[in-house]
Amino acid sequence: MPNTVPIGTKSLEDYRSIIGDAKTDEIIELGKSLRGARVLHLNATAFGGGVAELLNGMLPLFRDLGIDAQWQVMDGSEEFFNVTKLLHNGMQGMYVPWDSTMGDVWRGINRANAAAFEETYDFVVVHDPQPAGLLHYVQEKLKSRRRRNGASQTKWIWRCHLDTTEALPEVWDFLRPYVELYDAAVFTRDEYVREGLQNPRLSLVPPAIDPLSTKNIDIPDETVKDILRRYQIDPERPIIAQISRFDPWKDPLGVIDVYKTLKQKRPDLQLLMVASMANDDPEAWSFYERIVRKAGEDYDIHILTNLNGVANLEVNAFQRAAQVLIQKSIREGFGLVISEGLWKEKAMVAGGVGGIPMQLTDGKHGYLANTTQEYCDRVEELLDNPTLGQQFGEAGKEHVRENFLITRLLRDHLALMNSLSGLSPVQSVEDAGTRAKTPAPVRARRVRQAGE
Amino acid sequence: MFGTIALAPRSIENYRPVVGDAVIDELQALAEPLQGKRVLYLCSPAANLAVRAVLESTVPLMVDLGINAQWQQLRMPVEFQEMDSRLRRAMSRADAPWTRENATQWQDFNELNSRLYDEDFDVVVVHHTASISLYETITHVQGQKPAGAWVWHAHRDYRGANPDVWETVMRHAAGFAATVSDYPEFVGDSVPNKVNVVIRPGVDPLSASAQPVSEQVRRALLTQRGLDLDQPILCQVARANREEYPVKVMDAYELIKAYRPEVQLVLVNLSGIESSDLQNMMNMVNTYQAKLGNILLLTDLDKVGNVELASLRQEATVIMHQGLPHGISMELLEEMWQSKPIVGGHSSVAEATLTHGRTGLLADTPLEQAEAVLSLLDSPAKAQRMGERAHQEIARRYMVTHHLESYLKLMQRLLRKPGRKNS
Repeated sequence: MPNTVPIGTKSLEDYRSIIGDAKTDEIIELGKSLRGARVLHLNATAFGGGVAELLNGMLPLFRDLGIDAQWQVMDGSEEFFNVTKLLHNGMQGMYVPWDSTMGDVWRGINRANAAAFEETYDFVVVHDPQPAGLLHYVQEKLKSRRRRNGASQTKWIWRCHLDTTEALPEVWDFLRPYVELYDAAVFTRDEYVREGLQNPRLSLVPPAIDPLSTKNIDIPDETVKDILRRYQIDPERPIIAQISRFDPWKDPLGVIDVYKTLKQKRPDLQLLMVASMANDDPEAWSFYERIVRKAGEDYDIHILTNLNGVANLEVNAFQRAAQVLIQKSIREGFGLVISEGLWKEKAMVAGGVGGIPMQLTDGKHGYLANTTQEYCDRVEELLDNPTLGQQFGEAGKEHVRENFLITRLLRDHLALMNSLSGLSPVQSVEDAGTRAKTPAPVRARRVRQAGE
Repeated sequence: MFGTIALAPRSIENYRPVVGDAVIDELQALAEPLQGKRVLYLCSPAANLAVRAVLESTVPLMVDLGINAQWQQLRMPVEFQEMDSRLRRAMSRADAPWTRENATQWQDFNELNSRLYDEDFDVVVVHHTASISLYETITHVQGQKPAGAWVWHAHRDYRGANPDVWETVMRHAAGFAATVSDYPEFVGDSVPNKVNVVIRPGVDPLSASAQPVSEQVRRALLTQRGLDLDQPILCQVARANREEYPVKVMDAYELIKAYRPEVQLVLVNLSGIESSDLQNMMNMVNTYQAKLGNILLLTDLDKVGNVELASLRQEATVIMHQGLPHGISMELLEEMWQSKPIVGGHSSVAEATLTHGRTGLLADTPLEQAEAVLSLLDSPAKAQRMGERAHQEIARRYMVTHHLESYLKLMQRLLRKPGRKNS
């Protein structure tokens, strides 16, 4: 397992002014009993995707607490990653032709990674399905060495970041026996926990944003305006924006419909559509082209990507510049972009799918909408009534501060590790997380369902 | 048709205060006979950011000058991507492989795109090596030559090309009216077209990346990254992925550090490299960091955009370049525009752009680089003079307005020629 990813440095104290003394001190307290613990986080890639971003944000804080956190990326072949892409899609409910040959490829690479896994850790956190077989093969290896119990000292946690609500049964059945070997399984939402999962302690830990990352840090209004002007966006005219991948699930074409409807009454309105593009992804380009065609020659529609040099700071500025942020998702994983927007006290209108309703309560932190007409009505209402938008934004920010900042994520992880090592009662995990999760009751409910 | 790229409008009038009335008036005069002409700029989805940056400025300014210019993108399905990058490599390196199967894929790729070509243009400018046979393929597939004058804009240094591949590719370039290269050295006389001109890439002083960033923003951004803005900063922004680039710079940094322990090094690698290579690089940088300290590595993981890059550039005391691509570098040109002292490696683009000892320093080995950097750190006046001369060089030859002027002249020349209609 040679692919160690360097971890940056951060200080928990920098977050004290954001989350307050009580929460900061609680985290420090939870970290004390784990000081010196060796914790390995293992996933499939060091960059791209939310998991890498999350580990990048969280692991430096583990280290700041004196925990010896490490991050490694598994070895894999092209064939393996092709298979795990199918596994990933199947776990998220897309039909994939899963067969035993694919399973063999997945097992082979997991076995090879286990063979190279020599070091000992107090905790190993395995992220997502790609390396989920590692524990099985590590145990097998250690047993063959006639040790009493391969993973006796190490607590193993499987962290699933996927929306598995509609996981294909054949894919989930393949993965489940491997997952059941873990001491704990962590899901993002209650709905994502598949029925029939036995043995591991279940925990619900939603993802979170880092308020001190370049994407979320406070920036002055003048900087926001400067960045807008660089992209020929007029800071003096109203802006609505959707910051989201260009794919059908985020309905960018529908966003243009909303804009075009509103534009008839508000000729000064501008629309920002911002996404990240991979230049080797023909499907994404194909969708991009559809968006550009639909925008036509309306240059108040600004379609921007990383290929225009747009990255975290620019996205931060675009979100802050918008009067209303839209997230017209038809299907969503967790949709952390909602927390990003609310943290900036923005009025938001979003689809009530995936993790969005957890972050945005309709009528309290913004509006949830379904049809294009509903989006038009709600966005228009918020454009007409900035005071209402501001109230939503302020309430939303407090909701995010309480539930969706990286410090809460850190606290949940610490509490789980404490409870697994018997250092504190399970209850502390429950107390530590957001109000949306309760590890023990979820497990009980699931076990009960499985027994029905 | 191919896929259209989104553009933001630009006004040529906004450039008057930067380049002067005479330049803008000349551009408007040159554009006069080209009013309404249909011009297509064509690139591939894999086009590098420097090419995109040039088109992002050029195409809207052409439109503002009254020309019906469009920017479209070729189709590049997954099965052709490997062929595409292989051809790019083979056109730069003699030892790069190019198989019979690649040649077939190349043909299939051009056939696919030739079927999508369904409009007529007065001028078509192709910014993609693998599409050099597009004119020929359209002629074959559609049964007639496409209208207009076709131009191949070559963005790489082809001097080291695999000779067999070069010869094959050039055989299929028939039909192109002109070849444009960024630097005179890069293509030479071996292209088959009658018109072979040099049109240098141009800095757009009003682009998102070239505009200066206020000190307040720079300070906020860079101190958050852990940089001390009161101490010297060496900075390298690399878009190309070669293992030796950061190593050479860090070896030079070790030598510099012995004399100037206060110096900091920022390595930005935005080459989109695969995760295993990225991890190797991060591990390598970590080793140097443990030994020397004060190294900041920013990669694609850090999602660094225009404003942060511009801030880094402005705050850098000396810019280093051991990671330049095998073609144009907008970074290099914008750094010169912003009067930065630069130490470049002996790459073709650095050699073609920088005049050693005048507009920058060329140094290859870590020892040479260290000596060059120390000479600039020890003599801020020398560094400033060098930066000023670099700025003047850009103002004299590498502005977007120069680029436009050259293209307008080329278009006039091509459209004056008889025999460019459908046959």
